[in-house]
Amino acid sequence: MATTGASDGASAAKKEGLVTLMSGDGEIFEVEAAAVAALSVTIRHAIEEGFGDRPIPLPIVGARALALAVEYCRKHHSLGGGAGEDSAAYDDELRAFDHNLAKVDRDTLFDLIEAANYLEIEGLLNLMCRTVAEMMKGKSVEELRRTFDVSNDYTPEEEEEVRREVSWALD
Amino acid sequence: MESSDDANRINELPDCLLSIIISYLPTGEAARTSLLSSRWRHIWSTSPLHLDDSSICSANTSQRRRFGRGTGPSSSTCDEDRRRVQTISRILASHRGCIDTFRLAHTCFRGRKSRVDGWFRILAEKNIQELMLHFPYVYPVKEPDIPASLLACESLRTMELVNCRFPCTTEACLNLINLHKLILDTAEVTDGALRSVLSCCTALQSLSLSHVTRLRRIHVRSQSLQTLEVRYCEDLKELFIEDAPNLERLFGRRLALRQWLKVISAPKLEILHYLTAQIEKLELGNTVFEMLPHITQVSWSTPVLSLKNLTIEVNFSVHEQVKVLAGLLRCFPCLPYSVLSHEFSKL
Repeated sequence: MATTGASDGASAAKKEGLVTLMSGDGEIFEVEAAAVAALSVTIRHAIEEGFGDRPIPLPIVGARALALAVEYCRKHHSLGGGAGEDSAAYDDELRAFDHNLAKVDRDTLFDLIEAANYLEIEGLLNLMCRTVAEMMKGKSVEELRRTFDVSNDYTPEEEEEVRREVSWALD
Repeated sequence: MESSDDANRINELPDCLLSIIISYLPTGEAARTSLLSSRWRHIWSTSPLHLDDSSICSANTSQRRRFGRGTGPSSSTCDEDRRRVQTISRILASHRGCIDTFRLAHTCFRGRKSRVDGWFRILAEKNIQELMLHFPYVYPVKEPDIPASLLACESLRTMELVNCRFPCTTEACLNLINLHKLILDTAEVTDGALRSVLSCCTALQSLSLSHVTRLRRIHVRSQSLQTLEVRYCEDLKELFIEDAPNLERLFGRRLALRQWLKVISAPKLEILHYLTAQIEKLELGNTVFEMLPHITQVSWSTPVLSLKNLTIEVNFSVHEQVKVLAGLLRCFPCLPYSVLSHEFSKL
């Protein structure tokens, strides 16, 4: 995270092309405005609304998730990957970067989903949602309940009804 | 790592995010999540649907079908086919969300016109975005007909049809005004149907035609088209780019083999790929190459094209073909020579 440039903020003079972000837990990040504005709709709007030299507050995004999200924006911006996964520009290096980013622990994974959703970084949101889907794939309903701690709120009759509805999908 | 605090965080996500998550699951597994809890049942039934029939039939059957080309359908595959069709109807009828993707690769339409019509009506109502129909080869009759009701799906953005007969359509019933990308492979398409597609699909940016039969003439008049691919269309006699102000790429394989290729107006055309010198007549702007028996006539003036990349297949043992190549090089002196691919074919 060394490149993210967390600083004490208050004393940092406004540098050309930089924008200051403040995570929900109060950490200050100075990052290239072009990179984050290209990927994050929320930050783009905040810059357009003219936060000026004041840090843009991102109340529900923790410092760790914000650092990773910024890294994502920076990487995708510099490699021209704003165009989406199907485009030719989405090259092997970005794929490898995404692949590595998706290896985060479960807690960070959900932090990143919430952060990407709040910051409106579509590519990051899809990447992380797909990662959760990969974790779900091939698991039985019972295994899913255990893995994600989902409690069954059906009455036996309701459960039978749902079972009939999706009988085609059951083995 | 899997403390209960971590584990139940999925339950804290809003419905819209759970919707995205299940969109990455195969159709059957996405549906099974509705057994988790009433919340998940609601999410499955209201999320954008991604219906893929490979997730509805067992893997064993898919394998058999894929490699069973040429054999007739057995009674068990017929039963399975029937069950799958009923399942698709059930899903379409009960699902309450919109439909993002509809992909069939194991389902036959033959003898089911009214049922398929019903599916297409639902797809049209539910804002279908992407449709892929790959018809299996195992059925005795190749190229099933596709009901024309498909052409009323206004919301469609991408359509891919493989091994079928494209509806003979008139402009009146064609309403694919949002279609961006159309892929037709191993399909039967009439000149009239393609003409209607080109004139009515006003958002069409990419058109790919591979192994298309019955198609004799393609006359392109399209304001939106950017990429045209024409590969192995054996019946094709004429490919005229009449007015395509945004066409940038024209890809071919066996393009212009005994064909007449004419580019009248394509001011942005940069890539003309895989032209073969066994061409009958080639007109690029005002430059005309005409191959008569034993004579190659080239009458040319300043080329009006913006070509930056040209690939041509030349047999150097055939004098006429070499003359075509020489003529093309004179037409486009600025083209980097390295992009030309010369292929020696056996006599």
